[in-house]
Amino acid sequence: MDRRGFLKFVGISAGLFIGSVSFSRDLINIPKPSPKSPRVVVVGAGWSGLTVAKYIKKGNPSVDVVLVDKRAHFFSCPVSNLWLVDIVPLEMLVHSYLKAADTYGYHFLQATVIDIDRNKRKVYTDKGVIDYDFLVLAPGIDYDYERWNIKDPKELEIARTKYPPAFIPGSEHIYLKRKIHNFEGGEFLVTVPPGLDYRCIPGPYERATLIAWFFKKNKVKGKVILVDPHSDPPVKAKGFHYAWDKIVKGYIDYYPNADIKYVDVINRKVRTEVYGDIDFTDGNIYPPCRVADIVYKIGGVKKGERWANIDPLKYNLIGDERVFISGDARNQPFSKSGNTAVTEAKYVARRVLASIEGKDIPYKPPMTLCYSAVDGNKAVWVRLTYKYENGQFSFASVRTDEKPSQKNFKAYIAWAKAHYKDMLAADL
Amino acid sequence: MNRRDFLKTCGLICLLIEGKIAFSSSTPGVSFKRKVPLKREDGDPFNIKYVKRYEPYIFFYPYASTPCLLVDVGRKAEGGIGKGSGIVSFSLICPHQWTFPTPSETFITYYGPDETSLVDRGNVIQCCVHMSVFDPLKGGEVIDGPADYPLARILLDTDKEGNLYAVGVEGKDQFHEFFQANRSTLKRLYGSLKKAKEIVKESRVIRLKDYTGEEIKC
Repeated sequence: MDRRGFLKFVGISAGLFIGSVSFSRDLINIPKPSPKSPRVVVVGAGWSGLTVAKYIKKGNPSVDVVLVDKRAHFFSCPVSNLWLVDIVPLEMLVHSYLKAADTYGYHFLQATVIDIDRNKRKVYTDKGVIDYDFLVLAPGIDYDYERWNIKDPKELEIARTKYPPAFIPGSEHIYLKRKIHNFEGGEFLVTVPPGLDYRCIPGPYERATLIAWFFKKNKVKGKVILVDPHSDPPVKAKGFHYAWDKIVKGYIDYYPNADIKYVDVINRKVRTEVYGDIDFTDGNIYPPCRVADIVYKIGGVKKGERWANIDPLKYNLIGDERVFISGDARNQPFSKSGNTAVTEAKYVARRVLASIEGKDIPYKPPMTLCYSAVDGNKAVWVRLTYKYENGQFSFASVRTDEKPSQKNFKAYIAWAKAHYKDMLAADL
Repeated sequence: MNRRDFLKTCGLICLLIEGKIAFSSSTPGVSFKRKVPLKREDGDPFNIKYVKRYEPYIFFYPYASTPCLLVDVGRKAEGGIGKGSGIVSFSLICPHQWTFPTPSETFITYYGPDETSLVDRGNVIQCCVHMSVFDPLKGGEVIDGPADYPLARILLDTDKEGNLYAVGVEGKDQFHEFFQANRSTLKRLYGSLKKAKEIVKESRVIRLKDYTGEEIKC
């Protein structure tokens, strides 16, 4: 089979129309429900992209929806901390994109997006070119090591490969899990990025707590050193402190207000103003975040900023009514979390559908509901709702249960499973 | 097929459907109609007088696996029946992501008037998986949370002795999505999806706390 034939059969998984998919070197001709059907291409099959694709198709089956992602299978970042320490199995996190596409009737294309021509409305991928009428970019985050002065190519390579942040799902998580399980003693570093615009605000705290719990459970002669630019965890602080004092005491050292200036990945030191150099034996270096490269590439980030330049209520790229950006790539000050992405994505899907019809819809802010485990069967949660008034976002409500409990842990697992069922038609 | 044959075939299909279940209704918003007697655990009719105020009960209707809540909210409620018009029933499938009570636990349940909830009041139905809150006094409408739809209402009726019947479903039911999302759990609970989808001819009413191992509240 030649390249053309191979791609015809393997490159495209078309939910409803797989039988008549064809391919040309330049243009991937994915059949539409009808020749006049508008096409929406969704780039990035994370929590946001999957939800946008499903709910656009559900909202109007005559719209052609193509979901593009470089990965062959879904790997969940939410709940992955539990997998790192064997609380949940891998089967809970990994799911089929094709099943989601088949169930909900859109196309899934496994391809890497190389560039986008917004004038010609074309997405260039390593598998060919796709036309779009509307484009939704949900590419997520990338890491911004420069802000911690990790610039040297060799140091960057070491940081990415030997101390992977593991907040972009896939091989980073697998490597981190191996490190945790092979750790024989000493100081295991976990860093927290500064500010609040990093993926999963409580994620590093949950991870540090669970690694400490794992060391304690397996009698590892080591401890976690949690180096944090914040004065305290920005969310669920009481719950995490409870865990550090009552559950994993002696297995975690907390360094708050640590203004990280540099991480020396060769000599294994974190340079801070307050504590000087902190040595580590092994670790998980989570640096500041920024939007994924493709958004920079299409001119979607203002100079000096790190997130997409979009209308905060309509989600379209400023100056382009046909390109929407959702999920963690957004610039609104919402928590970059799975639940926020899903609730937001339903609104973005409605907004795209309205745009197709030349209509407008009232704004609806997203909602954050975030659980964190503190050991093998207890968890805490925070729930945030948002409002937009006088040109600014603020919290409409803040609810939290910071007392670790088994009922919260059960709700955490149920929360995730229900999302996987909704986004991916997962059989759980 | 000519017009006559076409109509004949349609008529036959309609009869077949009628034999099992009638989906159409002349009542606006009613998605499902079938009169099913509610029973006590011992098989006797479940009389309206057995409904204890603020106590949540569960029964399954219209399918063997689709749970419904029955509760007396203690005051006049939209669509309520009984002396104080406070007895109401809702499909206990969260319309957000189809959470439902199982024998091991339930995350969706009724909160009595003295209980607290995410909306700082009692007399609500709340799902703790993604924290949607519904108002049983106002036909199951969404008070807070991510649900896009109200709970589907189960229409109730009584005979002259006061025995209760479920007679229909009003509003956007979530049965298709429920079956799709919960295939594995339903197979485990009922042996097969076919059994889970069987239409009930009668339904036993039991207290929710006797059906489920744990009511998880938030």
